[in-house]
Amino acid sequence: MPQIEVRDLKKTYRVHEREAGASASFRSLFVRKYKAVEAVKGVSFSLDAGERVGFLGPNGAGKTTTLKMLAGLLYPDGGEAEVLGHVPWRRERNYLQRISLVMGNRNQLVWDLPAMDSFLVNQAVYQIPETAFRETLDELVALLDLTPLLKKQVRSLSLGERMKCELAAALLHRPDVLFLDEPTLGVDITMQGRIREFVASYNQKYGATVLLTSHYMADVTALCRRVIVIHHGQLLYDGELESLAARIAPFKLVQLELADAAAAARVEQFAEVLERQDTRVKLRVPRGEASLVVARILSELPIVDLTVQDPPIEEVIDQVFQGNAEVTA
Amino acid sequence: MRILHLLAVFYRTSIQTDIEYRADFFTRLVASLLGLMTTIGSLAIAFQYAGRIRGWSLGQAMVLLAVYYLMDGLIEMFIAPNMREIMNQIREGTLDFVILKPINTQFLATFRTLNIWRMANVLVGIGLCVYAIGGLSLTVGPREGALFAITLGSGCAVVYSFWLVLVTLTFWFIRMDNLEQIIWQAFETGRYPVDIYPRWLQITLTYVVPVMFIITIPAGALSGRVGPDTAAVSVVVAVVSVALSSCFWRFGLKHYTGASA
Amino acid sequence: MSAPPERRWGARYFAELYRAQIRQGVAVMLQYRFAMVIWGVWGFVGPLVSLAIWNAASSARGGTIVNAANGASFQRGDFAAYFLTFMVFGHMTMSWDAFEYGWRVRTGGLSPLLLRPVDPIHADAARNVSFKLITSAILLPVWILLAWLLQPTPPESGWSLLLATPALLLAAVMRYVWQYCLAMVAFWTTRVEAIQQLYFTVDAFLGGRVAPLALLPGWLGVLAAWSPFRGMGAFPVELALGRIPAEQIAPAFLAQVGWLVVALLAYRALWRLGLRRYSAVGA
Repeated sequence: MPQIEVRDLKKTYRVHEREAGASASFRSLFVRKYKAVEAVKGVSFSLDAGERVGFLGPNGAGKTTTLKMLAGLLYPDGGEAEVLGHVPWRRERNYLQRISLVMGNRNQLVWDLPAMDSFLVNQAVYQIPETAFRETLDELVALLDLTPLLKKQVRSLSLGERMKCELAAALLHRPDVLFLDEPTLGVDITMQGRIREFVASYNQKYGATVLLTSHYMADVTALCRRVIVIHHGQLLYDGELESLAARIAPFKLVQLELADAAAAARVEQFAEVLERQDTRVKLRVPRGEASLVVARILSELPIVDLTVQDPPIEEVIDQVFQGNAEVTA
Repeated sequence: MRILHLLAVFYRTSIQTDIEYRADFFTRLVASLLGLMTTIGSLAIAFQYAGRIRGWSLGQAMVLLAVYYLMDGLIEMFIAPNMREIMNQIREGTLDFVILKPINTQFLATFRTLNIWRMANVLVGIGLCVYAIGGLSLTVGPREGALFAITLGSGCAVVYSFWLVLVTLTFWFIRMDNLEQIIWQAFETGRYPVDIYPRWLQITLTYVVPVMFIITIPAGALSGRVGPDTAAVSVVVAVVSVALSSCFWRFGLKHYTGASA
Repeated sequence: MSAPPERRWGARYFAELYRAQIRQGVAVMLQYRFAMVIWGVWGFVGPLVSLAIWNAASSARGGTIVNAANGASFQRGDFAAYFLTFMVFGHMTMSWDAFEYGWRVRTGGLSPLLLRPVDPIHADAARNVSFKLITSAILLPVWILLAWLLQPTPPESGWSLLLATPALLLAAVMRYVWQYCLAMVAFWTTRVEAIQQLYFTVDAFLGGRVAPLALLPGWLGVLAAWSPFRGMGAFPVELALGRIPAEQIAPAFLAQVGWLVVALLAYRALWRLGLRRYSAVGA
């Protein structure tokens, strides 16, 4: 049975419309005009217990909105969702007790105190028994290397250090479902790596379900075998990360090093040229024809070096979001 | 002339930016009117039991209240926004840009912007003034008018100097917001005639936080309770405080540039 | 995955929650001691100014103010006792959440609080208690000094003080919940400030901050007696000073409880609707 089940979820925001002119502004004191913005337009997916899934999409695609609905922060305008057998937006205590949402740009830790004080409050809020609390805390401290941070005021921590503490605070009650919204935002590369490793080990150890959004593809490629791509509030793709490229970018990249520049100029007749620099050429070849094209190039041109690759996932995603690629799912 | 031109330029730009926030004006107006009701109501209840309190009639107390609102509005409109900005700049070290400009630093720093929508309190003050004077059927002749203008002007100068001293202190003590809170609290007491307070508070309100010169004396001038001699004293106080605070500011600035160089 | 352990959300849970939150609140506020004291002193200014006015008014009447309509009479020492007690009780019942909610709603700072399995009102109430614990300790000497300076007439018996304790507690909870309801308004409008000012103005008269209720003009006095503001302000003060006839005490307590229930119901409704609203514009 799936642990997260989302069917046709919809959310429309009401945005206050500002009008120009003094009289309009006076009127807006009493009657405000609103514009409806559809953020999520009917999204469906489901996650099994223990899965780690990456939620991809450009800014404003509806990722955060979806996560917030699943965490019970937002009421949807349509559709259904069930997480751990609860309807999230009913905000039942027993539901909130079992989930966590970490937002890279918001913090739950108290700014003026050491993180440890916030942990103790969370112990009371989530009624974590003393032994379980100590056990989880020791584990988190070891995994995230928190010892030097616990006694420092949160406001004096770096962004990455703060995020590690935020994660610890969010996991003290050992949630079964973990929503991560941009957990590595603004954090340096080494720290990003640490956070990723940590999320993976938490997931493995406790079998928690993880749904993650990130701007950094590296987060997703490192953590998630499965991705859900949404764009303009609609589902574009749901499946293996590896086959995402094949589905939405059905081509390969061929890089050539030719013997002379004249030969390089003739490459155009074989395939679409993406880049050309003296004797180096980058081609885009439809997936199905790749071997044929390569064979022809090898036989007809003086080749020094040749490589065939899948396009990098970032480029694939970019193309989708810029509307250059059609999903063939 | 050059100064007037500069002021015109400064104020025009800040009014243009403030236009966006005009809803703020109505909120302020409602809040001011409600605050006014509280004060007048509390006075009216007390005056039910005593016709005059320490020589003040209800009408005269209302004139005083009007001057309080007028002054509060003027401070929040012209003085406080600039002074708060300077405090921020000192804290963040961006005052250097101001010092670099080829105009008198004190002038440039303290008259750069105005907060136009704080005009709400000025309007409330003027309205109440007209109402109270009408109600008292006071004849405000040229003598009262002149004395009021002189004492009000002096009051503004005293407030300005007071804030300038406060700001200058920021050169040494970075955090002054708490002090500002205390001073506003003291200023609040100026809603009522200083005479009703115990002696020690009267002395404080005359010499430490000079509510006496800022509110009580101008209000007295308007309601005919203050003669030319008191007006003369307030002018002297104003001149002295502007001179002293200006000296202090320059001293502070020297300390600042010396420390950051 | 194992089934989650059963959690109980009873009195013990809340006791533990409040203990932890208050500890944290005290720790935060200790870092802002100075600002806290200023906040606390803020509450002194109003009663002191009122006292000054009534002292001045009573000197104009030979030292005693009598309301001919109901026979209430106040001398200098009575005014001092009334406003001094009002100052202390006012501090104990003070609440400021309405000022923060606007900010929380606008910046989305409310969202992390919504993730917890308890409503934010509990964390906020605990903070309120921490504030009072800290500031009362610092302000106690100031009160004693003022009491020495102002020479209030002491209440006739200590029993009245004892009786006033539950009234004060009820008043504090009442004001807290009413203020929280007012804070909820932030979900609908950004102009909480004007509404807050309206509340403050009405409370000044009907709660007894500008004058003892017995000295209000007739119609205002009647309004005050029936309003919730009396229970949050003047009632515990009058009770402590022994100024309430015995037969009126029980009805006044009942009124407190009644208005508290109304406030709690209003809070629940406003919180539910407010959350919907918050979620409509984007949390």
